[in-house]
Amino acid sequence: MKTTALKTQVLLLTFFIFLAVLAVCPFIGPTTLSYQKVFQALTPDNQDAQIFFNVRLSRVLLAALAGMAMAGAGIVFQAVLRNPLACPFTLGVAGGSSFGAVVAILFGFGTSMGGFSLVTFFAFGGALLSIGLVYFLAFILRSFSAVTLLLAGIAISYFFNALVLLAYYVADFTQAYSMMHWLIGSLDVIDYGSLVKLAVLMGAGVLVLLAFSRELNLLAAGEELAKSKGVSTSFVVTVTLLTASLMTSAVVALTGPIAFVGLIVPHLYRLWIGNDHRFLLPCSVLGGAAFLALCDTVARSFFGPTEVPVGVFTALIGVPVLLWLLFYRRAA
Amino acid sequence: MNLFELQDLSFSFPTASPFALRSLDLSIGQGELVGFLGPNGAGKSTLLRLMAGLLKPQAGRVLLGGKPLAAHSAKERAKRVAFVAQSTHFAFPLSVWEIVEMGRHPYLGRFDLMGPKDKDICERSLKLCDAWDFKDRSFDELSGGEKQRVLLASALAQTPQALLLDEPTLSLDLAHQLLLFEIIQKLHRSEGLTVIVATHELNLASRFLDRLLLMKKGQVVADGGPRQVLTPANIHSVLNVKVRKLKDPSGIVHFVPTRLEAAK
Repeated sequence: MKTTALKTQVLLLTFFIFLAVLAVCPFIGPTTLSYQKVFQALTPDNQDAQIFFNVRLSRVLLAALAGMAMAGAGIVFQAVLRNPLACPFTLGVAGGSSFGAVVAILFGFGTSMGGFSLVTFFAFGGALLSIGLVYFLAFILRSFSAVTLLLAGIAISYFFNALVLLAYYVADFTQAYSMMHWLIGSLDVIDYGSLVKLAVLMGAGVLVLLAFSRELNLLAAGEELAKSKGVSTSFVVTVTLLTASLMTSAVVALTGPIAFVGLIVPHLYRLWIGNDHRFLLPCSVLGGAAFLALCDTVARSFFGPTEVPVGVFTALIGVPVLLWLLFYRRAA
Repeated sequence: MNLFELQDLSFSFPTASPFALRSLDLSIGQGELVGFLGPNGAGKSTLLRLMAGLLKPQAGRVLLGGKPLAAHSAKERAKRVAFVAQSTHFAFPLSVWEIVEMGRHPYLGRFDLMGPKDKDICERSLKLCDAWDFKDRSFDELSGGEKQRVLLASALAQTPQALLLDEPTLSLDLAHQLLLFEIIQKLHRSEGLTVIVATHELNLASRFLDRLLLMKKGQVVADGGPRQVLTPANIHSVLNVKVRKLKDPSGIVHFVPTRLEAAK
């Protein structure tokens, strides 16, 4: 029995880990930073402060926001679709955003709008297009059931993946490299203005999801049971899936599809505190933020002189962690 | 006043051509203990789902307390009517207590936590259903009989006026079937609940339920007390089975099937 006391303790512990990761990770990297210098005036010749604030802190914060979105969306998709293997990309967000990004790269759209590159805009547009298509299919079929959404999402994903392959095939060497870099999923330096916009979006999204956490418990138990307990299932499914999809789309547009975060983090917490979404959701959101920030720190710091894209790193550690979860659950 | 009033109710599933229910009129009063009996496909489960607001009729309407069911919000409806399905599978394991807590959902605001009153109701529901002893266990680890009692407790935690049970004894052994019907009878008596059970158990229905509706092909063919409805002729005509009606020394009636024979 996972008691409420245990769940509360884990939530508090996760919160402190989250704060610790945000505080410590910007100090870790190929260049050692002096603690004193970092907090002196941010002048052009104060290299430590420049690296800390303009390079590492913004990247750590971006990683945290991305991890937050992926883990939160993972929880929502798993609950609503009642499928432990569902992830933030199940409704085709990764396929759609990848398609948008490769189109922008293929046609050389390099300019930026409002602090974001056009690749980011196209990726966001592609993600929205894929969600729109999934919902359009569900609307035509007059069914917003888990199975319909899942199958429509898979179909749309395959469709966009085929288009991505086509774009990759006709691209020249430089474009192909850029596409590959984007498709792997990586984190880059981002300005604070964009970061604030993203943080507002993520904060609002997380609040919406938290507001529906009890309904997620009921939906995970089945649509009929949820209805019989007074849940307006169509409304809740629509709001939570759209919120999760928008959060994922915004993040993926900036980082590319970073694999496994939305799968590993929720399942680690499921084992630890059970499946009560009132605790599982906040724990996973904070845990996901800490997890991706930590992964990115390791990926950029310990494989010098080059940097390993964080998408490769999460995929590499994701598989053994998932297998461990599988064996652990079997043993339990 | 009737708790349920079904007026000219018809329903068919999108993929099936014949109507699951056809032009059904029915009234069920507050505090009745009712059974829906009939062969597979008679429309028992569909009727329960329409009454619980889980399905929408193609024609006609269901009135709950004189007001159309569709005019109730989802939460309002859940406060008055609780439904327990034949079987429930949880995609992610939950504890018994967490499942019973779900019954309080209609009473809680978006950010409300369970208060002492909610916890008391959950505790009482579990005790009434003889499930308090395993409140901390995982639902997946329970036997079929224990699972049904937990789902019943979760429904009871909704503090409804009506409890709709869809074949609650399905896949239960004899002892657990009897136990479940005893609990249903106890709930009806002590809580004054309206209980409607869809079941295939003629013997248990005849012994524990007050009013029976015999259904065939989406229509009610007999409605009344067990003695009046469960006659060998009615059973033969609806279930295509010849039965012998026996009474034991304690006065309990038993139906023993003797042979399969299509009614003319």
